[in-house]
Amino acid sequence: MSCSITYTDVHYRYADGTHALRGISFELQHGEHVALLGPNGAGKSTLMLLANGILMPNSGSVQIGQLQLTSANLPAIRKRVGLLFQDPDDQLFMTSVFDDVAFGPLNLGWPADRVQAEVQQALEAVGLYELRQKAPQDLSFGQKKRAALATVLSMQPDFLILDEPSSNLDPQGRREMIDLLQKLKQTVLIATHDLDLVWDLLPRSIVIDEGQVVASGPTRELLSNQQLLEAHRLELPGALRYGSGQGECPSR
Amino acid sequence: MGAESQARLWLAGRLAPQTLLLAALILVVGIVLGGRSSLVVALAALVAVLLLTIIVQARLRRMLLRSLVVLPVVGVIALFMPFRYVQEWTLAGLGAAYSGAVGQMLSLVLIPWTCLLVMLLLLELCSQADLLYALERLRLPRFLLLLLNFSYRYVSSLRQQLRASHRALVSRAPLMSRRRQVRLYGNLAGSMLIRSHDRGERVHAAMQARGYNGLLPRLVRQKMQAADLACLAAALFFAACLVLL
Repeated sequence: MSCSITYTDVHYRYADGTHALRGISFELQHGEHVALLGPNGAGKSTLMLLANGILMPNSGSVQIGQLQLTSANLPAIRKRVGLLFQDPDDQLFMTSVFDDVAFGPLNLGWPADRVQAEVQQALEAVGLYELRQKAPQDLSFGQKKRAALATVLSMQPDFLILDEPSSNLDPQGRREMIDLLQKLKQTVLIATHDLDLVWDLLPRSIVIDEGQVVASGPTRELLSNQQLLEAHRLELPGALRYGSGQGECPSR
Repeated sequence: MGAESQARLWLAGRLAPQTLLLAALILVVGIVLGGRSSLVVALAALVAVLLLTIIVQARLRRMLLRSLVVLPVVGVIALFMPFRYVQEWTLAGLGAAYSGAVGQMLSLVLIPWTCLLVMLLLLELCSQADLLYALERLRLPRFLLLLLNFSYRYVSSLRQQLRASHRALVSRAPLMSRRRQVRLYGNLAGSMLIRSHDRGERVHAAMQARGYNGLLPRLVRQKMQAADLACLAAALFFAACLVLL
């Protein structure tokens, strides 16, 4: 089964007139881990919501594997595409962590024993199995982030679309999240401003701005291009800044 | 393992949450109808509920403390209730009215207090998720179920948001009068509604992304069995005794 995602000349305009996407085209190959970069308001979140059919393009097409994004294909597409929201409080809405992680699998109509097994596996993968009976609001922010990731992993999606998975995490939480992301086998698209994470983890990057793809290619090549980064309100990752002596030393 | 979880484990394996909810409602009806006519019945109901609490190893002290919330309300009502029997507005007339209504006053306090204890016992025995499931099984309209589910989930978010807004407000307005603060809180409520709507949209998107189709799925769907029927029969019997005594 093909596990690629293809956006072809996708346009999207919000009801308030904001033209969020203006002819976006790119492809993610099976098993690729790709970063989606760009300044605030570039259209990253819109692009991600389109992958799951939360939004439908005004024109152009989105193809998930062999499936074209249409209303008729939505259930099948949502089975295959896992979407992680930036704010875990948007993602965790049930009364316990366990119920939240089981929500997706149960909606897929899986039998109870399979749901139980998938939930356990997902919670163990993110290190939260012990907290499964806790209410989501009682978790720390880092735990919420990991629980939110478990809600997606439990559905065994072929594609993972992650919006700012490392944002607002303390260093330890960020490291744990990076370890988790490193283990993912699926095709992954990560929208983030955490360029150090991108540098360490994602071999390919796509930069978008004002609803268009402005650059696409190997991460290390793109992130070394200071001119490109500055033109799109991004900055060199710490590894490069400190390595080349262009940034301030944190100890000073 | 605490007493609460023991009791919950003990019952969870045997009784469906909808049984416990129904039994609690039957008991409440019995207590209200039976306790109204006799102080002895109201006292008997209270004793029975306390005994039941001890038998199922629920947290009695916690329940009693929580139940105190009802006392200021019913206490005030009970305090003024004898006024309806005052025939002469003198000290002697008031005294007569009060002395004739002591039993009724006590019943007025005991009945709601006992009913609240029954509901608190139900909360000790069922998780919020169980109760939502019970309501679903009892055919509560779906939109109400969702409303309850999200209310529970987002009360703490709302509290945090309110606290944050309050801090933002007072930190930038140390000299603001109380009157203006109250007016500003009115505006704050408006902005909270808009924020809630925004969050609601995002949560809905997250639910859709995970295949939400209008139903709250549940891993274990407990159906009523012989033990449930026995429990309901016992509750009915006890309620009938309270009413008929």
